[in-house]
Amino acid sequence: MPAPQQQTIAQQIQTNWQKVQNLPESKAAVDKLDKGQFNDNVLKCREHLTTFYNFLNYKKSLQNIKAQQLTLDPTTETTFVTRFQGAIDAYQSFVQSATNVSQVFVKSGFDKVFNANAKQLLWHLHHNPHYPQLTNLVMNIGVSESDISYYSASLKANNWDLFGIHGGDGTFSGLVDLASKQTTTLQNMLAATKANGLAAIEGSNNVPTWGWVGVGIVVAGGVACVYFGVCVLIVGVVG
Amino acid sequence: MRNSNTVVLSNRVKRSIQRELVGTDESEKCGFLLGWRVNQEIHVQNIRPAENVYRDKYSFAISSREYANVLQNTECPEELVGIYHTHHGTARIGYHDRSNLVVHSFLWLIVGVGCPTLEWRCFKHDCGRIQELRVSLEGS
Repeated sequence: MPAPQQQTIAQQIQTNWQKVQNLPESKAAVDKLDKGQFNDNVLKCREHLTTFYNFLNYKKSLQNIKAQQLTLDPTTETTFVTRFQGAIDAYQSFVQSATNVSQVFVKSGFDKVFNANAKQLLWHLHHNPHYPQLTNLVMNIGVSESDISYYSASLKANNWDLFGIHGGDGTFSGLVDLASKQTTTLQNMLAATKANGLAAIEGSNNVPTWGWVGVGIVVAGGVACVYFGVCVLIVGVVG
Repeated sequence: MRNSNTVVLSNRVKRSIQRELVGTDESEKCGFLLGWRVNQEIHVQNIRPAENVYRDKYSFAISSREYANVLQNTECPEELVGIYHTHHGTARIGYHDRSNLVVHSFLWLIVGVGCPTLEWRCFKHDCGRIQELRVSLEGS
């Protein structure tokens, strides 16, 4: 079957969005949504995740140096541990804000609309007219272009199922729950770092990581912003 | 026919890693690959298991103390050619592995232990991209 032309994909994206937005339950949810709470908490999600991602980038740079030198100055190691703790605090604040967003969705009924129709809304996301703004949003948090490419490819390979990737239960609140579970992993990593110094070599299985889940929640938040016509994350306008 | 994108694992390496998987400790196993290069093929002759300081089922970390130790104590003709670690599940390379592989210039061998038989996949960072190498198990 030949791939659909780009023009057809763009039209289909528009059709998908109109279809979901015209659902009676969708209109009811938009009316009931507490936009103030939604705005406040998505902005906090962005802020806290930026702090956390800044730490991940700093960690990567330091690991690069340690891989070459094999040791770091003790002051550098101490500073790293302090920043690691700060990053975990920021991550926990991010999870709390994401939880608040989830509760706003539930109170309005938007959770049911979003969960049932997320795949349609995210279908061919890279062809969505708001994709450049979503990409900028994620890059400004501190996610690299290569990571964005990787996440986009993963999303496409998983049939645009943002809430179901890596063991998610298919809901936005499930994604937030996955994010919450990363906190224990991060705390264990901090404990190991305090005992052994910054690790020279590390890696992990293909399980949900804070990077993927964090970006997933922010993208979902961005899509919701567009959906509600509240583009606070996309163009910085509170409306 | 083997080419420059081939990693040859000796029987000793294969058996050593399989032995590590016996037992109740579910944390990821990890360690160093020792061997040499022959005409751009990489022959892995021995492993040196390392402590997973994260003690986690889904992630691993090796201390710089242990890394320095293996660099200092590896004797010619062997050299440190890579690291290995296990995955509960497939040996596909994920986000976290990719991010860390690019920090180092050596091989990254992943052993998937969730399959009926072990899955062996090997990667390296070369010319700005992550390349998968063909894994050849000696005797097979």
